Amino acid sequence: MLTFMKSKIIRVILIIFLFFAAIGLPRFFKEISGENKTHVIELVAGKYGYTPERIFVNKGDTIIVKPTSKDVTHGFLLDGYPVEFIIKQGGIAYQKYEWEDDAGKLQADWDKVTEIEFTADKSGKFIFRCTQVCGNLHPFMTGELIVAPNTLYYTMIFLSIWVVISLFLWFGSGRRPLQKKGKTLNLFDIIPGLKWLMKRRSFQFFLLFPGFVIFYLFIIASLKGSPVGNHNIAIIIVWILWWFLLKSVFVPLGGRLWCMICPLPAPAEWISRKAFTAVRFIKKPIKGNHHKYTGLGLDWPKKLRNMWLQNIIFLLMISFGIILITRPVATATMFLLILAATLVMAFIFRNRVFCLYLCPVGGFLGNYSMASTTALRVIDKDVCKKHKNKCCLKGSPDGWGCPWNQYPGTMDRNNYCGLCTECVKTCPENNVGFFLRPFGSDRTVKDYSEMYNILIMLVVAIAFSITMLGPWGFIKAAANITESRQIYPFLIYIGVLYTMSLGVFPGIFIFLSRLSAKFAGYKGDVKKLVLQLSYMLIPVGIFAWIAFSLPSIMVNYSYVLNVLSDPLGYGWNIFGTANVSFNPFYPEIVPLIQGLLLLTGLYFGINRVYLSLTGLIADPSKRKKAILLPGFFALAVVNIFLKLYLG
Amino acid sequence: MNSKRILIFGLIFLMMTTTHVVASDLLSGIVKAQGLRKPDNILVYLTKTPDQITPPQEAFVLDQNNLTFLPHTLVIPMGSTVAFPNNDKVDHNVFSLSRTKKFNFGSYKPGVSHNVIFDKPGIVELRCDLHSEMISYILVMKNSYFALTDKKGNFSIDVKGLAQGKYTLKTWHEKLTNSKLALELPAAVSQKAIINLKRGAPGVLYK
Ligand code: SF4
Ligand code: SF4
Ligand code: SF4
Repeated sequence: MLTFMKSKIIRVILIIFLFFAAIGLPRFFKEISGENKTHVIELVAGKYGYTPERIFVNKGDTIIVKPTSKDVTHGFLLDGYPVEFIIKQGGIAYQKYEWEDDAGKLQADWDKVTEIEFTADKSGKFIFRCTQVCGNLHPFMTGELIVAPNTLYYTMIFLSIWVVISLFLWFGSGRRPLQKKGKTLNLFDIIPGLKWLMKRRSFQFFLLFPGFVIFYLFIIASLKGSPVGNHNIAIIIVWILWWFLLKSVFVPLGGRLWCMICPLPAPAEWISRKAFTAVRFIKKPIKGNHHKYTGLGLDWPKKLRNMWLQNIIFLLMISFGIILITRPVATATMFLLILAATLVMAFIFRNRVFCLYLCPVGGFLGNYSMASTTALRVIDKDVCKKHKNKCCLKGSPDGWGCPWNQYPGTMDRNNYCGLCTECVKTCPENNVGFFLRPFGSDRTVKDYSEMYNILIMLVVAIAFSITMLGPWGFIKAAANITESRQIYPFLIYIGVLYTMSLGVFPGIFIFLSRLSAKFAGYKGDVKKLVLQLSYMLIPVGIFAWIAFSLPSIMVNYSYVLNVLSDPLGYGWNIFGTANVSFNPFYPEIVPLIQGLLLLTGLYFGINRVYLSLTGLIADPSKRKKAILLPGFFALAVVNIFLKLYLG
Repeated sequence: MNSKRILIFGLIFLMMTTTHVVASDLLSGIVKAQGLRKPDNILVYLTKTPDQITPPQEAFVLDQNNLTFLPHTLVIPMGSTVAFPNNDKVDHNVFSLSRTKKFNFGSYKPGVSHNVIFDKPGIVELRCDLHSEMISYILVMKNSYFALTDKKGNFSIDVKGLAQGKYTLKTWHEKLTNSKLALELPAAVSQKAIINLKRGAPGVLYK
């Protein structure tokens, strides 16, 4: 006992010591000594990037930018520095300067200049952005100024290593892993009225209906409004606001909470039920179900009951990602295709087949919802075992049988529960609850299609970070096929994307996991272990996506305000916010927040996977060995993101 | 303290200050401007001096290159000639609607130049019909006691030969309100003048 205690104390001290080392060490990476230099940068702006893409200087250096444009008028707004100018062709620029007038109001004016001089007095990575709407990909036109010593970046690298080492030290202390058995709380007991609300037949309808109306207005706006992406409400709300909310709020909080209010499959469901909110109950069950649906009512083929189709559709959609999110027509087309697919599927098959097996968003929502902090579950499984009628599955006069083909009685993961709340209504025993639980509570990956989805999501986050947030104009051009019209760069682009997400990343991960199975002397089913280990990448992926989406809202919120007042880009100004100028919200702290988010993901990933292995490997030291190599994989992935966001 | 001592101190002080005046003929100072990117190209000039000035033989040059007039502000003695060569790659037309001197060359090709003599004091605003963002100022002065501020706002005016007496130091910039400062020569030479200017519409050079 004493030795245990001792080793535990020593380990804790070591963890604390290493923390200070991780924070302290990067401070010794000072700039290369010597006098401050003056850098003359001939900056060429062109659709949609700058050359040089990245500018490297030391703190205290003087930078003289001589800007010019090779096509249209561009802008330059540097995060964290009061440097802003407009770039014209022929080496002419207009530099902005501000002052406070006697009334204390900020005034601004522009001076015609040919060069802009400033001192790099803050270190770190700073992004400069185009401010003049210069074309489709304008919101993604950026460049980077890296002022050495980039202490924040090195600190984050050290901290990421520290997170991994500390977790291993902690596991090795042989004591309580952090959060062994998560406590869950039934929200029905805590929030009065929630259960009553969810039991209403019209609950989902009223939640969903506003979104449904807005969705159709968006489709009209996409087709009739401004073809310029960032003047069109559909593009801005869907791809800036919705995407941010989905990744940063819905997924961590409730995974499929979005599916609860998703307007896309609603018409199909209404038609197949011949009802908006009512239940059509028939006494004699058809195929075990007390309802008759419109259409053929077939069952989805067994072989396709996995995520492979979803993965393929997602990858196909993502191949045109940058086009989708910048062209209103493309966004509208995608929505209409999805709508058509839901209708066709609902006519041929029973229940939410589209959502379960085809929806490209639904795929990752399902996987990521395993980690989310809420879950719909039965309160007591024994009650279900004894309950003969299984109303939640078959339906009752109070509600439809689970439209997602789930049986709540044994459901132990969030993946395929669409939170439609039907079972809350159908269960005569009031045995269904809505639980609050710790992050990362469902911890089983069941098949390779799920594992591949996890890896695809990770690779796509990296790819989007490079394409959309990165400074490389030629990659944007390659992805932007409909404008650049160059087929080979595009093929290379998607070729790399597919190879990485279907080949390289899964390959390396499987290889490392198999290796660590050997390493840990694991005798059981290796496939099971590999799948289980891939759970690690769910928290990593969730937090990486939040880190990816965060700048889009902090930087581009002004577009949201603009389109709310001028939804179609017709020059309206409904709320008086149509002309709020592009003015990123504290963009200079974005890298810090991104770094911390990534570390959080790494922590949850490794910690939760360690807990999840308890069932497979009983011996803690063997368990530790089993997650060592995949842990390095997660660390490497986090460092790819760190490099992209901070380096 | 006795009166003798005070007298001695007074004498020393007087000696110090008088030697200073003798040592310098530069009236210098610094201009601080609210609402400018940098406090350069601000004209600082003395009035109430004898208005006598001899324009130089050679013409001043107001260049046109890269869609810009250079210099942005050209200060010249009354009676000077200014050449307007087009050294750009595109055509330009230079015109002035100012009362001090009205002219319009019409559009002309690169390589061509025009000359104008400025015989009245005041402000001449130059523009180009073809490129609305091109703008420049010629300031025609009555005397030679003037200077333009540098990047930091510093100026110095050579006041050699000016008689002892009261003068007015004035400023002009197209984006700042004018200012006036009464001073006495030679005493003013010993200290740096500090002039604070505000953003606003400027007035004329001479009433
Ligand atoms: S699976 Fe897709 S279509 Fe279905 S509800 Fe969820 S997001 Fe909407
Ligand atoms: S109806 Fe209720 S008690 Fe019966 S199986 Fe479903 S959840 Fe369990
Ligand atoms: S288990 Fe089925 S019925 Fe219950 S909320 Fe989830 S999807 Fe709906």
